[in-house]
Amino acid sequence: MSEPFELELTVNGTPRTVRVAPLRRLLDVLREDLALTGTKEGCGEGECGACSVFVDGELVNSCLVAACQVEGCDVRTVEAPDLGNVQAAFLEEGGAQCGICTPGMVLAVQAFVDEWAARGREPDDVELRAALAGNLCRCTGYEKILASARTALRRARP
Amino acid sequence: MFLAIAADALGAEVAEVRVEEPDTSRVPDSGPTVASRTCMIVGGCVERACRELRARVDAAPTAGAFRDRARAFLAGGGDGAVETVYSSPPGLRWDDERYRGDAYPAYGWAADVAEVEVDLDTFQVQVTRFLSTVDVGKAIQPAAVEGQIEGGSLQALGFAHLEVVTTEQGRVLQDRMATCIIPTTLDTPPMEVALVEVPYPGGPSGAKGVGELPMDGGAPAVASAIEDALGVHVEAVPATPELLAELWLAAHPGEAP
Amino acid sequence: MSAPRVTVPRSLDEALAALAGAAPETLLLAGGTDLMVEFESGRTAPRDVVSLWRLDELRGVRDEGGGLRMGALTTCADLLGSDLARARADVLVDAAAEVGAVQIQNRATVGGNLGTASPAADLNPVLLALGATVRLRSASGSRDLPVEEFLTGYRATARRPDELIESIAIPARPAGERRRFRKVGTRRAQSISKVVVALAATLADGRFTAVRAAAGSVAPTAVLLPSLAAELVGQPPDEARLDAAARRAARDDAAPIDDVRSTAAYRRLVLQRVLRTELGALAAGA
Repeated sequence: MSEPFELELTVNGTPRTVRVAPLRRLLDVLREDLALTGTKEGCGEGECGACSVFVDGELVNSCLVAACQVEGCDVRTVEAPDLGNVQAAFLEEGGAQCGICTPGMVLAVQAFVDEWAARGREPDDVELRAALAGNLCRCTGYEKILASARTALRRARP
Repeated sequence: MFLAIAADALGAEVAEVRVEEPDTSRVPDSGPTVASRTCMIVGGCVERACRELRARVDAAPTAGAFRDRARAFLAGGGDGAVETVYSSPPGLRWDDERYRGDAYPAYGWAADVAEVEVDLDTFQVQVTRFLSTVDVGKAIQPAAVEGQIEGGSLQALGFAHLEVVTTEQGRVLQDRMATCIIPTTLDTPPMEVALVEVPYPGGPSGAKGVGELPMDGGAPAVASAIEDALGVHVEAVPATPELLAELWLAAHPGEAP
Repeated sequence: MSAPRVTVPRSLDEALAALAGAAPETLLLAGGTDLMVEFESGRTAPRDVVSLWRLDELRGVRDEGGGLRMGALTTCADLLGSDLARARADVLVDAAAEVGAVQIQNRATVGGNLGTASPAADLNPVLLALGATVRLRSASGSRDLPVEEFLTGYRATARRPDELIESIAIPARPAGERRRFRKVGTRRAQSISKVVVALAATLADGRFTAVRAAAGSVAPTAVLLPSLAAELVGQPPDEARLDAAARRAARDDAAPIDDVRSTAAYRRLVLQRVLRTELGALAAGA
């Protein structure tokens, strides 16, 4: 198919259908076709992580995912209603500064919290940093973002 | 920041202050467009204007919160518009025609310390600790100024050893984020910031400028730390692995391939 | 430029049928971490694309004769989460951990690393050093090629247009084989390699009995370093011998270039120094 096709997927719990070209980036499907502009385009080449979203529970750069590869998938963006714990931690710790990396950072921190909440030990500093290494920030020095992640993880533990 | 300065000067709540969209056709000239002076100079103007406004409101014999007294003041025909214009303090000369002179009545000061590890196989540099001590005059919002110092300092660390920018016929070659190598979390040391507050009377609550200050000390600190580690003189930044390898081989000719 | 024709097969048979009459320049799209950037920038404007991502038959990691067989769509994250992969191919898992960061690891595949054949692909030197083979499948059958025969040059492979990479196999670890991996990148994560080194060697009675080494980003594609084996097999791991082997491999087996990321001189120097250090660690039993 080179023609647009009917893409069916679930976005933040809601079934959606959009008519798109098969290689259209998931990023553009979200921002332009579905008007979910919380997801940001930073570099458009998989370097910066600003466009991070979850596809079937896995954190991906939505600029690198083709529409034809997400048929029937469950996509979660920064507009998802269940990110409150992480968002509150960012507010409290001053984790957002200029804001362009923040939506992607929030999802990367959520992935980190999901991964570590159930484990029996604390992540060390390198493990925490590695979890966020795919999300570039130019203005915070990461310190308060890392603090946000630690706070969010502490609160997510039973 | 302006919200906090205005609220403090008025005795009002931060949530009660709104900053209008800046428009140079509607505001007086606040002096030259030079670096890191928003808080100190514009913030100073905001503080003086709000103090004047508060004095007018306080002159009326009313009680209660500022917002209620201000409403009563305006309802009674009071003038709620105050304009302040920046002028250089006595003794400071600035020529706006030639753009020469002293643009700053006071400076922030900083001292930066970097600790590095250099891999002797690859000459890659890892900054393992970074401490920045900054005299900001007064931290209006401590968390925000810390964040600015941490972020600016990290940019300086990238400038120190990672971020090569070269041009070819006027075009920057590192024109994508795949080639413009800024630090990731794993390239970043814990950033330790210590705020020192030596107030400048002309700034709001004593605050001085801090914007670009964090960019200044990081690269020399890292270059000095590399010199200390390798025993070679680092004359340029970024001190890339390629540059350090050259310097090392010049000092150790027996190791040339 | 017209939009490419995109085929999205639902099964391996459908994919093979689609490829049977495919135009020679048809591109196979796996996780997209390389090709989506190429498409978006316009550097690559394909007429035909076949998306393989939904072919679950190309996923999974399993035992094969004491070694490992990986579906072509096995991601770096799959490797990181696999105890079997860790047990059988520890250095491949180490390499997967240094590909990009989380988001890239969730999409970048072993088959994509091979199929793209970038000189900087992090997994390929490891596959070379471990003696991996590539299974190519077409409607008319399948064939296995050693990785060194599959990678033919700069972003070039021995894959025919009617074939896809079905899986990759790593043979059982020879008794006592020691392995090392080292990536030298532009930074600590989200990094394209300047030099990659992978080593596998066995020692018996104080002498090297087998050495297989490979490097990335120092030649048009990932390459074996035959000089190391020539210098070392049958020899004891003494300092002078290791020095000479590293020096010769960096001189004779690499053909690095200057580019936006580094210089030929740096790559050759670092290849030598990293090889020397890793050989020392390997000889010491690390």
